[in-house]
Amino acid sequence: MRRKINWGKGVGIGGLILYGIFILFPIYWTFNTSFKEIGDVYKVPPSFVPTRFILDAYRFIFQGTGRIALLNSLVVAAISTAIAVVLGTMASYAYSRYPFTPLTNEGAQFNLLTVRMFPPIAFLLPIFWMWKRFGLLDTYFALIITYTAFNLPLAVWLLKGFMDALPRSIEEASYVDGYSFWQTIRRIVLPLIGSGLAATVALCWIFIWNEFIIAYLLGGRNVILYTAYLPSLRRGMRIMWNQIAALSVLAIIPSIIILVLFRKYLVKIYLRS
Amino acid sequence: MAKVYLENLTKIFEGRVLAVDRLTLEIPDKGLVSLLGPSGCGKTTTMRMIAGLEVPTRGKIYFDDQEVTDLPPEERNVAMVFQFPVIYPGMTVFENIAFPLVARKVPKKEVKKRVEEVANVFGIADVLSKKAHILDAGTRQKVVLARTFVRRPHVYLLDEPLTSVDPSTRVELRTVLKKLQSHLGQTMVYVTHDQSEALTLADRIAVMNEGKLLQYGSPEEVYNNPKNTFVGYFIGNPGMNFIGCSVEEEKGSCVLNAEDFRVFVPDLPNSFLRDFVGKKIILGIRPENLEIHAKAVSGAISFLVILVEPVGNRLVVHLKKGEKVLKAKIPRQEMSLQQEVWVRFPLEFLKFFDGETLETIEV
Ligand SMILES: Nc1ncnc2c1ncn2[C@@H]1O[C@H](COP(=O)(O)OP(=O)(O)OP(=O)(O)O)[C@@H](O)[C@H]1O
Ligand SMILES: [Mg+2]
Repeated sequence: MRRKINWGKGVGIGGLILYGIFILFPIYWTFNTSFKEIGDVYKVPPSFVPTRFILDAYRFIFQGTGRIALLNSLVVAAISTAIAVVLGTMASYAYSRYPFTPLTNEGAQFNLLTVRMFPPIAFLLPIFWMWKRFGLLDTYFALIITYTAFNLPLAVWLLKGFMDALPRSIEEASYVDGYSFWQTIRRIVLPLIGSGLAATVALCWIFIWNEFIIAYLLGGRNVILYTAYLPSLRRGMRIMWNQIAALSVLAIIPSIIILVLFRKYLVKIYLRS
Repeated sequence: MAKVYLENLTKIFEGRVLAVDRLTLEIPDKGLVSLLGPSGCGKTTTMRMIAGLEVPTRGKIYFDDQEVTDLPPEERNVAMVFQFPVIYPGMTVFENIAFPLVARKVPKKEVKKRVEEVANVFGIADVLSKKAHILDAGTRQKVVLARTFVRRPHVYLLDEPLTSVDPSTRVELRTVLKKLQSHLGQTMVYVTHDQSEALTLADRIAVMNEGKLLQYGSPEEVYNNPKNTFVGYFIGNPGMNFIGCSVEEEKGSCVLNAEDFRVFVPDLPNSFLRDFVGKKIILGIRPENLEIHAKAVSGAISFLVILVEPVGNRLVVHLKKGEKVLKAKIPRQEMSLQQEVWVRFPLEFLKFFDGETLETIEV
């Protein structure tokens, strides 16, 4: 009996270790590559640990368009996430508390979700032409609004779950205790859905940060996001793997920060759905 | 403090559920009025309208002479205990109790003083720094009550404040509330569906059923002179006995014929009963007013004992004759099943109700 359990445990742990290597090795390899000279990248056999820390690749990224692309990504992701979360909070409150108006009934809520059911590419051509028509291609505005449009349904849907879990009577007690609607939202509702807000921020951010097609189609020259910049790190036949790796390492940092900060809340969301 | 006046208050939910029906009620300044009625009779809806959480379909609400029908809850200055008690999760007990004071920008020192004062009254001073939502139901309810009584609103609204706590805490809190109310001398509306709670606490009782006010009066009034059979049945433990009878005249005096037995009402100023000769009326008498004799006495009717329930230091005896079953509440004594006893209906305790409208017949 006892032996069996240990066996199972052993296999489980072994599996987890294999899985960990499978996930972590590419990240490690990227890290490793980013400290190499381009000549060393193609060396056979490759070096598995960085022998010298050569910062050329990082220098290149920081001095050139790479830095601008990273900053652009930060700005677009931050502003768009903020808008999606603020609007999403308001909309989800309406959806949760007044579910019988034409704008918030079940049909309307379903329509909202359909936006997320199709791959973004399905909508992108019309969106592309629209921005072109308005002369807004390749602007912060177009990118931010487009990302917000894709993130808003997600934000509303996630936050509505948290709003629904918040009993209405808590708000009513707050009114009776002397707080106005906005005071109640600020002092009662927002603190109580805090973990929902954190998780929503994280998921919206991650969507934008990892997104390529929109960045590539709607931006690229004036406003270039780092995901759209990556493919340009190819000189003729030569792919600058070390520079790509350096940019990737830099790009992973914000995601790691968000994941570490909001890990607790993200787990909650996954458990819920 | 204020007098609360409800004028023709009506609430219809979703255009079809009539929850409160033309309720007119004056709650006197500093009075403790109990809204009493069975489940679903509109008590909570009435409270929510007074608090401003529900908009009346028709009718008006006044605090003193000011109309407040259209004021939002935060501008009404009422304090309410919800039927399903609400504590603010994530806040400590102290923060919970202080919450309404903070809304009114009471200075910090004053807040601390008042929170500690009221926490002492409810015996929760030792948990002030704990998170409120982790406490047990009884303590949570004390927190809710403390939050209510930490300030002096126009009116306190308590919606079944003691149903969610265990019986021993209930008795303890009932005493605290009664003391507080007489000490503070504040207007209070107390919802309950427990008639004994209403009888012990309230100055005046408003009995409701199906959204309507059936009777409004002092505990003695509603107990002694129920306006209709519903009030008679609802107040009292157990409620009043009702016997359908037809009124007959025999040798110049009135007889109530209940088919299985007959009750003579000889020396009553029975002129009013004469108007009912040949009609149906309902005879009402409280279980505690029936006289039970072990031996035959004059004017008594024999019944069989079919059930004996001890209630406190008293017995509730179920008696049967033919189709009719009565309950009598008597001091504890030997009483065995199937025993024959003689029951007398003392004239001074008899109540008469119209057989059709079920309203009381004024003597
Ligand atoms: N929001 C609502 N929508 C529709 N119907 C409602 C609503 N609130 C209450 N009702 C209905 O109105 C009637 C009165 O309800 P209310 O809650 O006032 O009764 P109550 O006397 O407080 O009962 P209880 O003793 O069970 O608390 C009930 O029939 C109830 O179903
Ligand atoms: Mg109720």
